[in-house]
Amino acid sequence: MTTTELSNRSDPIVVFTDLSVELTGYDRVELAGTGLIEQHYDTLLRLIGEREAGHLLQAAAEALDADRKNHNGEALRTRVIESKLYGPVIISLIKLWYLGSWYPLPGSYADVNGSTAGDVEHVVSAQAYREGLVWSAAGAHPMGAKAPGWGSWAEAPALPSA
Amino acid sequence: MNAQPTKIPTLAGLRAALQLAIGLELSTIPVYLTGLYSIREGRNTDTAQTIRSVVMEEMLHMTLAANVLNAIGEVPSPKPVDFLDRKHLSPIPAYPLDSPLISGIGTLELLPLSARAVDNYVQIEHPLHGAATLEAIPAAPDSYRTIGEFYHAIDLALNDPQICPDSLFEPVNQVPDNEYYGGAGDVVEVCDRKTARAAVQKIVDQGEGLPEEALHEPAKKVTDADRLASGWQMYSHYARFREIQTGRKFRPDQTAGETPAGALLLVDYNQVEPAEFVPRNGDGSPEAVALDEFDLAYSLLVDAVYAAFGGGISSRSEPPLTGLQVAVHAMYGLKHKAVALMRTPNPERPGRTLCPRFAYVALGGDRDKLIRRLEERSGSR
Amino acid sequence: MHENLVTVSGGKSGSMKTTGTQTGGVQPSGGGKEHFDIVIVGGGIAGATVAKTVIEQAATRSPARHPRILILEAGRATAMSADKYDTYVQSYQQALAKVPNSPYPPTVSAPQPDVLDISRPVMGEDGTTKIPADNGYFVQMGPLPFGSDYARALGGTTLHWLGTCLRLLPNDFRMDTEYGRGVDWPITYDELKPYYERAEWDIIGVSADVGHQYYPGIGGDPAKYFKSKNTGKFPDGVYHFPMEEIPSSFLDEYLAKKSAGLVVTLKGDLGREYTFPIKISNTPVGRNSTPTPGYQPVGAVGNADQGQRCEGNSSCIPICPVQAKYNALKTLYELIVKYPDREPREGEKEKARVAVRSQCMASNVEHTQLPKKQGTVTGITYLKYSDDGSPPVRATVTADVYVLAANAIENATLLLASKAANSSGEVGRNLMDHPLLLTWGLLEDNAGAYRGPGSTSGIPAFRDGPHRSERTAFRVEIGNWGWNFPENAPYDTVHDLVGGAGTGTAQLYGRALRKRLGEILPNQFRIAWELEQDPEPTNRVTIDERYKDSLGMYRPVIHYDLSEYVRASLPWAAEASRQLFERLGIGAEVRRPEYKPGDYTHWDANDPSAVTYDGQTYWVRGAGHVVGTHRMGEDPEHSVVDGYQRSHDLPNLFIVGCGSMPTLGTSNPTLTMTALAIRTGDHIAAQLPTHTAAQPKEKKDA
Repeated sequence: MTTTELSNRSDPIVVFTDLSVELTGYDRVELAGTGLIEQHYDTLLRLIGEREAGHLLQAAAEALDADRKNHNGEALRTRVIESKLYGPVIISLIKLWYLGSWYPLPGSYADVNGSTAGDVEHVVSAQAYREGLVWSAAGAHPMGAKAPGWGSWAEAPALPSA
Repeated sequence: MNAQPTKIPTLAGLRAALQLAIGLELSTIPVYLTGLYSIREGRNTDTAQTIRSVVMEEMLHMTLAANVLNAIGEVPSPKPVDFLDRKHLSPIPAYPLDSPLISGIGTLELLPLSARAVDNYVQIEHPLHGAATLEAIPAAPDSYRTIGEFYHAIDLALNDPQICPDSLFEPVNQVPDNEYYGGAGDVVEVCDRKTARAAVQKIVDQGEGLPEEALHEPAKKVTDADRLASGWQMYSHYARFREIQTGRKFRPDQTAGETPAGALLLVDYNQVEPAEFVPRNGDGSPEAVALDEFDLAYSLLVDAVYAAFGGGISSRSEPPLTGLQVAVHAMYGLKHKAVALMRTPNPERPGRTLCPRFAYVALGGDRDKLIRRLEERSGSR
Repeated sequence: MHENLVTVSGGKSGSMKTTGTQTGGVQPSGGGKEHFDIVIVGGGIAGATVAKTVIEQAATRSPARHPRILILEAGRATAMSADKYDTYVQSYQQALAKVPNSPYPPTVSAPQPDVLDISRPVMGEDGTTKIPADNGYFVQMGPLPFGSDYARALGGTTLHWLGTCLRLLPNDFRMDTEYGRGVDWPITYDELKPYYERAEWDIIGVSADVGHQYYPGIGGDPAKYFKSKNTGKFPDGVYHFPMEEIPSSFLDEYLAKKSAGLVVTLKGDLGREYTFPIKISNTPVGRNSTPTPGYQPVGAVGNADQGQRCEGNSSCIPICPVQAKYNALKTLYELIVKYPDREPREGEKEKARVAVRSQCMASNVEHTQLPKKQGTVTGITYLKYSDDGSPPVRATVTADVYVLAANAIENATLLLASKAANSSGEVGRNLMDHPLLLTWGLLEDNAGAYRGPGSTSGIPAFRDGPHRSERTAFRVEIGNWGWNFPENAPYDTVHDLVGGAGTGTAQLYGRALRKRLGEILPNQFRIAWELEQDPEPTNRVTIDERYKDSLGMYRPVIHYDLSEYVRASLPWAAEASRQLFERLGIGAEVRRPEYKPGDYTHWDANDPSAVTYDGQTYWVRGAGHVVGTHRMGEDPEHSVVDGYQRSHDLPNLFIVGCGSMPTLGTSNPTLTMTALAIRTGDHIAAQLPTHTAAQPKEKKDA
């Protein structure tokens, strides 16, 4: 069952979730388990503006639809990832999920679209840091949180199945 | 009905009773953990600390029961046992759980922290499980009305040289005190009748099977020496849960039977994930897979705990970690998984999130099937 | 007396009047001076250790003595309960730059050094400072910036130390005699040994296995090096630590297997060859582990349940979330719980009293010392600030014994400002650190990086030996956190892989990104080569009228460089690293953003920590080991304190901490500082006058 069968496909947070799944390589339950889908959605809207976010999510929804039909990721790649307009936002969004920090959009993007007050490097929240996907991708845990227990570091490392 | 509590007449009966005692202690842990893990990070810190301290003691109790059982010649096991005339009782809980052994305890449910959940905690830890009198609790054959009755019967049997001759006791597979940590108290390493009874007494003193008289004693009567020497005092589980239930602390001069009338204890039931227990339905959705993964992790943890009680060690590291250490890693991993599940919306229940089921999947066919299903699934992720 | 004081001490901030004009709105507090048995400046491990030791030892005197002690802390009170401590963990998690001081925000009134402020002063061609680097708390005069920080908060820098608890080696105490370098200590290893034991058991709580300490310079037998005279506690003198060793990381074991049998060969002066057999050694550490019988680990302050064992949070620096790692709050908490500063209640036995006052900035050591003469300390003046817009309040407290325990640099600036205890002219001089060279590589296998304490093992081979007469010794620390230190990983790893900085197009995303990170991050590893720095009078802390903070306190003005002796070890460490990496199969030179097994070590010239030696550039970081500045010695002409850390000039003043160490050796200095503080505590306890200050005596002002 895919997300879009569960609820209205035009629900922007559903589109955001589907897009995030493709950008991160984590499924929707893994992303929901971070407790951050709404927070990251809000962050995106706050930092690029609602109008631009609306354009991006519309383009993403269409590309994801096409990719579902074609069983590949071509449309997302060519129309969103490689898009001059959306590409820089996508980079920041991937890093937001992986690192919990917002990295500002490049000047060339801001020259066209303007820039919001919050569009500077910052840790979005303590939880965003703790739930950064990079740690689980490394088979580790965030430094200073989610400790794996006494002596765990002596055990052979294992990567969670991707 | 004014029944005398069921006597345990044989060594076989005592061993079965201790297998079930380990399971009884285990069965309360998921109930409390569900409440604890549902609390949002950094919120309800007082309540979280209280629940955590109780859970640590329940784990200690499991360990104590296992030490006693090992010392009287049987290795703890998750397999079903026959207790007196009752056949095939599983020590391992499945929720919602109606205890096969303690009739007064009520149905154990997995609920996020809520007023109802705390009511349940209080009922579990109340000497009479909330009943006005012992007689008000219906009795059933070969079972007990209260946890207190159950441990009393175990103690009588342990003290009976006909059942347990001195030569029976041997310090086999004891989990040593220095491997157990936290403020829950010392592990009693059992080597003879005296230490066996001390171990059982420790369980009773800390809360499980609190005698009725305790209600007339000071609420903050310290149940365990302040071994960490930091002014950190443990009082009975019942009194601690009453404080959460009423949102007030006990004053030092109150008895446990009174209503706490001290400082406010701030509990905010809104700062809790809206988790809701749903029974198994293997529909293949990512949500169902995540719940299955949790069950597998939980099952492996239970296995690791029993392996530790069986004296097992892990050879995966150098020097080898003890079984309990491996179980501890599994426990930490399980916590992070539970927290993640409780944040994940249940697509079929708007406004609700998933709730770990703490379902033990027995070794053998069922376990193999579960593992196969998850492997297929992760291949397609 | 008051008039006397002003005239005699004479110094600018020694004079009430002048200090008043400097700081504008300081309010003198009304009433008489409070008197204590002991006043301690600094609420860190040294001060806490002295207090605890004096209390416990004085109680065993006959008749028992129960001192009243005041501890003045310049910084904030930090946290004495687990939920409040958690807010510091959050502060760390939310910090953009997760540097050691990131969880502990400074107050406006007690600024603290921060590694983010390290920049390079501009030097003139004649070697003098043209433009000091004064953007942080320190005023860096160069030629190199001093690269370490410390915390000004209750608990001190133990809030963010790693916890390494290595004793010094016997030869570290006799560098001059043995190698013709540095100076000898006034005490020997054997004399300090019983205090090391007490530091390991009674204050810090150290986890280690004696048999796994493969140090050079101990005759090849760790049991002999650790052999105890306390045969009551350790039958036959067979010493053991209070807790079993912290398990070595999977990485340690991986490296041990791969490097088995490796002997590093290094060429010295005149073509002399030195060989170093590589053996990986589990490091003693102040971090809770499985206790040996009879020892109870000390958990988190205010929640002893927590922190009974290290849980592997992998953030010892800057903050252990569960306080499984020792910090001085634990000792301070014990003191204020056991010895509250109040009159005994009815039926209570008399006992010592400890008052801890934070946000109290010691501004002057009042004394009667005349130039080149002995004198007496007559009080400590401090400013109690609130940072709420109101001016600080000044007060002077008196005591029978005074203790400065405020970090080596702060002790020095306070003494210099007070013109106290410095007839030797050595105050502030001989500032030392462990200049630290990093090397890092990508292993062929998943070694499980980013798991466990910052370091669990090291390679002790280079810590002692004949090479020390020509170049400095060094300690090798194996890091468990990948390239976190050298390359800001995993952040920069993600930036590299996602890419798109120029093009605006992500190069890697989705499952491919997730997979690739899993192939790179756990294979990262780094080594820190920590060089012993020798004492040099020109490496010094001074004060300067032009540089003061908002309370009018002198900021530390620091002159710092590395001697030829230290620099000569840089190519050695680099060469030893090359031989090790070669053996690990990662000898090939590789650079980000390419990722394949290899040696990623690189030191570019444009870094503030760049040091050039023999045409090669190295990066030399600070290790946070701030040592020197009030060295101990027998000769009052060349040292500030004696072997008990008592001031030669002011016999009722003890100046304690890492500042007293004449040389640094290759051990992280906290354990040695603690041992010295216990020795000082014993000494003070034995000499305390017999009256008690619990009922304050009338202190005559004339």
